Amino acid sequence: MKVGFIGLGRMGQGMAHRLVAGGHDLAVYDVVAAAADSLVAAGARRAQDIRDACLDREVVITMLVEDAHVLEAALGRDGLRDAMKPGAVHVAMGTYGVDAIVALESAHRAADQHLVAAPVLGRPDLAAAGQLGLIAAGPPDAIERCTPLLALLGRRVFHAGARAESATAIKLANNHLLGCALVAMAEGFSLVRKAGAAPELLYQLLSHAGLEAPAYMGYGRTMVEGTFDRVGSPVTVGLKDSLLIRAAAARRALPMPSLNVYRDRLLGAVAHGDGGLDQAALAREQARAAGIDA
Amino acid sequence: MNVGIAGNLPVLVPLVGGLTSGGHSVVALRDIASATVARLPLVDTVAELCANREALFTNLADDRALTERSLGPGGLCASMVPGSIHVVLGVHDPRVIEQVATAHAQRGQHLVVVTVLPPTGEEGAAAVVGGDAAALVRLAPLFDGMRLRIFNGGESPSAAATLALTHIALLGCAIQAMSEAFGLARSYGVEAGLMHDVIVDGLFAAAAYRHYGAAMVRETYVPGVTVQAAERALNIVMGIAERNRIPLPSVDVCRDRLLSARAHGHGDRDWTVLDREQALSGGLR
Repeated sequence: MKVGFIGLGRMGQGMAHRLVAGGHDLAVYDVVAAAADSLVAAGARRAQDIRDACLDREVVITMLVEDAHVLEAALGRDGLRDAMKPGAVHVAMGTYGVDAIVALESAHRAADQHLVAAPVLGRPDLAAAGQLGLIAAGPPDAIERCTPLLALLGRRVFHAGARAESATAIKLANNHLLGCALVAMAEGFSLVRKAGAAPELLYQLLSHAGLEAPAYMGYGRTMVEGTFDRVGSPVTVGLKDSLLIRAAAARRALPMPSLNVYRDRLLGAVAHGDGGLDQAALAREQARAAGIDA
Repeated sequence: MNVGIAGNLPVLVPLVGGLTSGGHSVVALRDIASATVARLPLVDTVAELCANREALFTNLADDRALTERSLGPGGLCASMVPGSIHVVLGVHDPRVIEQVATAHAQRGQHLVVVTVLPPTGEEGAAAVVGGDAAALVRLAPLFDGMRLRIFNGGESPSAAATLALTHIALLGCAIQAMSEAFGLARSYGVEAGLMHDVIVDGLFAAAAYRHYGAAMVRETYVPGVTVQAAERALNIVMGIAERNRIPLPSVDVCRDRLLSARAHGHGDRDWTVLDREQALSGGLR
């Protein structure tokens, strides 16, 4: 297939390589030109700008970090809407908010194009290995056409129906669950610390009694060891996500009390200069709140 | 071993079955109603119960019942032989555990906590034990008979109790968080079953998320752990937090929703009814 890929960051890099290796005709673009180098070496074409990345493409994938970036890339001058041919599909794979996805959906529809929201589950190593979980929603025919691409990118596709925002809601809800696990674990560690037990013991109990999930085992390990500068998912990205979740809930007038706890701890972490650390650093923020030297 | 049942809730009966079939001699106090149901030999007084019994089990509804049965006149401390072990099942405030443990220790008796954790759909119940190491070794055959998956919480019964309570609170927070995730998904037309599939596929591949998520998808709310019992446990946790000046905002959110569940008449239902409470809060029901 003729594919455009915009956004070659930590996740996009590995994903684009999967498509090139799968034999697809790839035009790649990133604001950082050097990001395209290894893909060009692997056989992709370096696009000069977004318009060039959309030229004659059946599918254009965006893997960008911020709503503002994808809206600009898609709806700005010479963006996807201007440049994609009729019938082409924009597959929006970043973690975007509902407002952005709804805006994209209606703008592309008006231009006789299709929007598929396909946010991903997993980190850069899974992206490079084609082992992501994918959540896809949008026009069924458009999704059908993208199937060969999705099969290269992920090990499993969860189909969420015809409205793109449904996929976004699932992705945000899953990120919410992670945020809640982080602050709850942080509270648990602070409680056992102050009450005179070893955090390591709580960590082991979690895995013994039903909380052996990667979310707890991975971030919990970092919390116990205090290695917050090994950054998988930074606090600043968590904060961005929490604001997207809040906006999605607000659209539906849905109270989400645990979300506010997560967001407040993220804000506190940023206020105390921990914004660049891994989200496990929320344990430090909780320790501050409890008067414990972390 | 010679075992005495000095106070129980009905849940103890299945555990007792494991004890008797393991060849242990089990006797109970006459005033325990379900002991009659379990057809155990009965005695009339705590003193008779404790004579020649190595392990005395209690599984009481609240802290006051524990202190009365343990510290009151003619209670366990007054009646147990030196070297015997008071096995405290049930969920209690660590401060009360500490108080009772000290009283036992002064008389050469032991106290061991065995806090059975909420079910997560796995074979056998997980339990955190805490107390004197040698006493725990002596109790090991009983724990096997009761089919408990034991986690050793250390030599201090009150610290082990705190550990268990913390885990219970984290489970509660996970259920509350899942209810909010399901609520968000549902509000965008996504079935809870699909959301559950996504949840347990990667980051949350764990027994608790599978088990409680599935229960919330089913919407049956059969206990398990009742709202009332969960609220009691979380109240104890918040008490520990207050005494130690630790803010626990996530635990507080969960406890508030349990209060609402009770206010809505769901005190006897499973704590997964929190899913319904979340839906209610957003006008989804």
